Amino acid sequence: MSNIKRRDFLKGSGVAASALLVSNLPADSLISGPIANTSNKISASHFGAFRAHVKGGQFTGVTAFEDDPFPSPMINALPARTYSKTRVEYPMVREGFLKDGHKSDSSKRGSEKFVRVSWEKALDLVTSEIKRVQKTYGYKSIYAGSYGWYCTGKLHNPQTLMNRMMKISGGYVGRIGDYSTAAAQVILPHVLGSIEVYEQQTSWPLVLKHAKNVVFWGANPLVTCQIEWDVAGHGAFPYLEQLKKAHKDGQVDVYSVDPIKNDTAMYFDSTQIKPKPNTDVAMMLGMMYHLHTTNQYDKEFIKKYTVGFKDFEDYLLGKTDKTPKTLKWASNICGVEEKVIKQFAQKLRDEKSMLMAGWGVQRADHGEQFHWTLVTLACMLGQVGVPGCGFGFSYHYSNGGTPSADAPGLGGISTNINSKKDGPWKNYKPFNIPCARMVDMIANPGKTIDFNGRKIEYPDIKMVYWTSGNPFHHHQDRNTMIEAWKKLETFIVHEPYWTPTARMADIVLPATTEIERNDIEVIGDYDSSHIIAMKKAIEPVQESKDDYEICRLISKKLGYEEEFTDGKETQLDWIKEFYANSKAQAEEKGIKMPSFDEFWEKGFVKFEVKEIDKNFTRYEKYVQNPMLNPLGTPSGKIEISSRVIKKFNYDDCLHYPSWIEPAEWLGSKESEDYPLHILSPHPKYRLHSQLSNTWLRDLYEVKGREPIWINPKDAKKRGIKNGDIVKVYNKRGSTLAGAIVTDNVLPGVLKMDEGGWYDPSDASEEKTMCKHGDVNQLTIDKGSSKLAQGNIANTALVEIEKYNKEIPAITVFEKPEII
Amino acid sequence: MKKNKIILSSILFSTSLLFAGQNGFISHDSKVFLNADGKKEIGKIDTATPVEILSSKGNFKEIKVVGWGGYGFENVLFKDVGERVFYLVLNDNKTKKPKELAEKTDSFETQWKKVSYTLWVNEKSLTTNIDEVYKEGQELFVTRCGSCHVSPEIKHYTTNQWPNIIEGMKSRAGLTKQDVKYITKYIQAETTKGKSHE
Repeated sequence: MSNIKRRDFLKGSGVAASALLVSNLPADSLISGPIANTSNKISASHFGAFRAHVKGGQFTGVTAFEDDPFPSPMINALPARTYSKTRVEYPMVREGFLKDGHKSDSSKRGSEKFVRVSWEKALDLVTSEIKRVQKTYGYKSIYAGSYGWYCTGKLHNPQTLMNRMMKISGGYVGRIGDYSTAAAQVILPHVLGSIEVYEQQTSWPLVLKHAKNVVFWGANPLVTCQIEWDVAGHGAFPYLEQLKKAHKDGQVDVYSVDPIKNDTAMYFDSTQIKPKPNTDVAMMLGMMYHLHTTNQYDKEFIKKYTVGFKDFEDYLLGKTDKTPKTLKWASNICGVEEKVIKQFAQKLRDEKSMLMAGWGVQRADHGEQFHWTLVTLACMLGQVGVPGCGFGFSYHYSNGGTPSADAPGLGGISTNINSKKDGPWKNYKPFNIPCARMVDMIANPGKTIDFNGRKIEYPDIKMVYWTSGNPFHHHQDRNTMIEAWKKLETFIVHEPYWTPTARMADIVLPATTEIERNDIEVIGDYDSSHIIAMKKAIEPVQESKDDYEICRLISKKLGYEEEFTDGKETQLDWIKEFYANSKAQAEEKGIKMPSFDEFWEKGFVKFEVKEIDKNFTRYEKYVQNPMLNPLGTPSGKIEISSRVIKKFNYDDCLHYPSWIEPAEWLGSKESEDYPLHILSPHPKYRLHSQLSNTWLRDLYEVKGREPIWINPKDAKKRGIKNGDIVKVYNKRGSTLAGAIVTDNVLPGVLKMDEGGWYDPSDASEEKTMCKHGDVNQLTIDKGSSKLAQGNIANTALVEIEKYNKEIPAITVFEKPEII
Repeated sequence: MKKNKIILSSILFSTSLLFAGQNGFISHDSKVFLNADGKKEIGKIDTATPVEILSSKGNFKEIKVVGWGGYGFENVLFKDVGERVFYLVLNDNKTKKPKELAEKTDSFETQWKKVSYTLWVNEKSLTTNIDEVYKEGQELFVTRCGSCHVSPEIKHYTTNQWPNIIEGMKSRAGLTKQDVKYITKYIQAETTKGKSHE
C-alpha cells in the first residue's frame, strides 16, 4: 500500500503534515506540526457525519455535517477517543504466550503482562498460529464470528476483512443472527414471511397525518436513533419534534409501555404503562381477551389476511389450558391494573393507532413471543396496511420511517474470492452458529442444540479471532465466559483500544480508527440521503495499521495476497470501484451522480426523496391484493399459528403466541433470594461500550461507576441514597455501580445500561467483582428458546446493597501492564 | 461491471440457437404478448421461468408455460403449490384463457389449478442456458449480500421467505429490479433443489 500514491491523489485537498503525534504516549511522539497547518476534511461515524478539525497534524475537534438535523453530542468525543490513554500503540503479545505459544497457561489471560513486539514478529506469530490450527484441527476449530459495531465504511469493515482473510486461510466458524434482534428475526419470517426488524417502516409523514395513538412499546428512539449501522443521518428527529407538538396540541396521544420511564417517554411526557419486565405478552393477551369477549376484534381482517387464528383463540379463551387469559389473569402477572389494560385496548381499537415496538423486549427468555403476540394484537385491531397505522419494529433503529431517498445502493468489501487458484478456501463450506451461543459452544464441544428446526453440533474451538468488537462487554454472564475462554489455545484481537476484550487476548494488533484512513459510506440506513467520503485526516496513531493492511499482510504471508486485494494496488481503488458501481446503478435509475474526483473533492452526493416514498405504507400492497403480493410464509398470509413451528415440537416455543414464564422474573421462585429484576437498555452517550473511554463518561457516571436506577421504595428498604456506591449481585457475579434513586423505574426493577467496561477487581481470581459496572456480570447465558437461540440479557434477577468497604480505584481506563 | 456484461452477452448469444420444440428459459423479466406482432402486451413473465418453444415468427417466439395458480387467480402462476416461485403474471384472467391440466387443494384449504398458457415473447427474452442466469444471481448474492452483514446461509430462510427478505434489503444493497430477480431466482433454485417439480 503506497502512501505516496494516495497523497498524489489527494493533492490539493490539504493533506496535513505527517509529523508524529499522540498524547499520553512516549514523549518523543508528542511533537506535532505547526498549529497553523490546518485542514477541515469530511468524515463520518455511526454517530453522524462531521468535518474534522486538524491542526498541526492532530485531530482537535469536529463540526457536525451541515445536513444533519440533530447532531449527536457523541461526535464531540471522537478527538478525545483518538488520543485516549487506552490506545493500543504497538503490537502486543501476552508474556506467557510469547514464551510458550499455544501451550501457555491460558488461565493467565487478563492478568498477565503484555510484551511489545515488532509488526514483523507479530504478523509471523499470527500467521503461524492460523496455519497451525487450520492444519491440526481444521477450519471448524477457529471461531471468527467476530461481532461488533466498531466502525462505519464500506471498505474498512473489520469483520468482513478478517473473514475474507480467514476464508483464504481455509475457513472458519461464523455466526448466524445478532445480539440485537436474534429472537425477532427468527420468529417473524414464520409469522410475516420476512425479517421485519431491518426493513423500512411506514413513513413518519403518514404516521403524523393519520395516527391518533402512537405507542412506543419498549422503544426509546430518542436515544437509539442517535446511531445507525451506516452513518447516522438523524432523519427521524424532526418528525419526533412534530409528534411532540401534535401531542402537546392534543391531536395525538403518545404512550410508552415500559417499566422504565426512558428519554423518549420524558420527552413526550407520554402516558406511561409499566408492566413488570418480561410480562408484556401476558398484558397483550389480556388486551386481546377483552377485544375478543366483547366481540370487538376485526374478524374480517383475521379471516382475509391471517391463518391459524383458531389455535390461538382456543388458547386465549382457555380451551387449551383451562386458563382464560382474562384481564384479571393478565393483571396478576404484569402488575398493570385491569382497568388500565382494558382502557388501553379499547383506545387502540377505537382510534387509529400505530404500535412502534423496540427490541429490548425480545432480548429475554422466550423473547420470540413478544413480537408474535404484538402482530396478533395488531391483526385483531385490524389496522395493518392502513396508512400511518398498524405496527412497526424498526422506528427506534437507524431512523426507520424516514422516507427513503431515490438513491443507488453502495456495495462494499465482501468475502467473495475471485481466483482460479486451488487455494485452501476451496474446501470451506460455511458453518455458522447462532451468535449468542458462542460461549456455550466453546465450553461444550460436541453438544447438539436445536435451532429453528435443525440440529447444530458444536465443533471443538481452539482459536478465536476478533476484530474491533468487544465480546467481553456484550456477551451475557461474564464469569462463565471467562471460564470457557480458558479452553482456547489462542485468542487474537485487532483493536485500537485496550478494551476488556483486548486485555484478554494473547496477541493484540493495533488497529486504526476511521479518521486515520480513507473510506466511503451511506448516510441513513433506510433513507440513504447521501453517499459520503470519509477522508483520512491524520496519520495512523503510533504503529497502528488499518485492518485492511493487517489482513493483507497476513494473506501475503499465507501466500495469497492477490486473492485478498483482488489485484488492486491501493485502498482507494476499492473505494473508486464501490463508487463506480453506485454510479452505474444511479444511471440506470436516471439519477445523476458526479465523477469520482468531483465527489471526493466535494465530499458527498445528496439524493432527493420522491413523493411516492413519503407515502410508503408497509403491508399496503399485501392488504390490497394478498394473492398477487403474498407474504413469504407457507400460507402466504400472516400466520397467527404456524404449522412449521408445530412440526418442530418445541416445549419452549409453541405453535401460537403464548405466555411462557421466563427463567427468572419477579413472579418466579428465584425472586425470594434475588428480588429485583435488572434491565440493561442502550446507553445515551455510548454505542454499546464505545466511547466509554472518553470524557463523555463524566456526563453520566456516579463517582466513576456506571449508574444504576433504583426506585425510592427499593432504595429505602436497603438504606441506599442517591450517589451511593452499591454492589449489585447474584449467584453468577457481582459489580459495583453508582445509585440513582428515581421514580423513573418501577419498584422491583433496576436499570443499568449495557456497555460499561468490565474492570475486574483481581483478574486472577475466579468470579472476581467488577469495579466499574459491567451489567453482564449478572445476566444469564441461555438461548431464548430452541427456535431462535437469541440472548436473554433482559431476564435476570439480582440483589443490591450499599457498598461499605473501601472503594477500589478504576483501572480499566489505564493501560495494562506492559513490559 | 465488466463481468455482468460478459454474462449478459453470452445469454443473448445463446438465444440464436433456439428452435421450435426445444425447452428454454426466460433470461430476464419480460413482457408477454398475445400475438407474434408484439403489439398487445398482456403481462409479464419472470426471470428463469422454464418454457417450451412452440414456433417462431420474426423476432418473436411462441412459448408454452406451465404452472400453478390459485382458484380464480389463474393469471398468476407459480412453480408449485405452496412453493411461491413466480412464473407468470397476466394483467387479467379474461384476455387469455389457460388450458387446465390439474387441480389440488392445499392444506390451508386454498384451491389451486395447474394450467398452461401459450404466449409470445421477444426472442431476446429466451436462453437455453439457465446456469448463466443463476450465475448472475449468485455473483450478486455473494458480493452484495455480505458487505453490511455476514452473508446469510441460503438454508436459513425458505423459498417463500427469501423474496420478501430481498425486497426488504434491496435498496441497501443497491439492487435494481432485475438484480432482485436474479438473486431471488438463484436462491429459490437452491432452496427448491431436490424437491418435486410438478
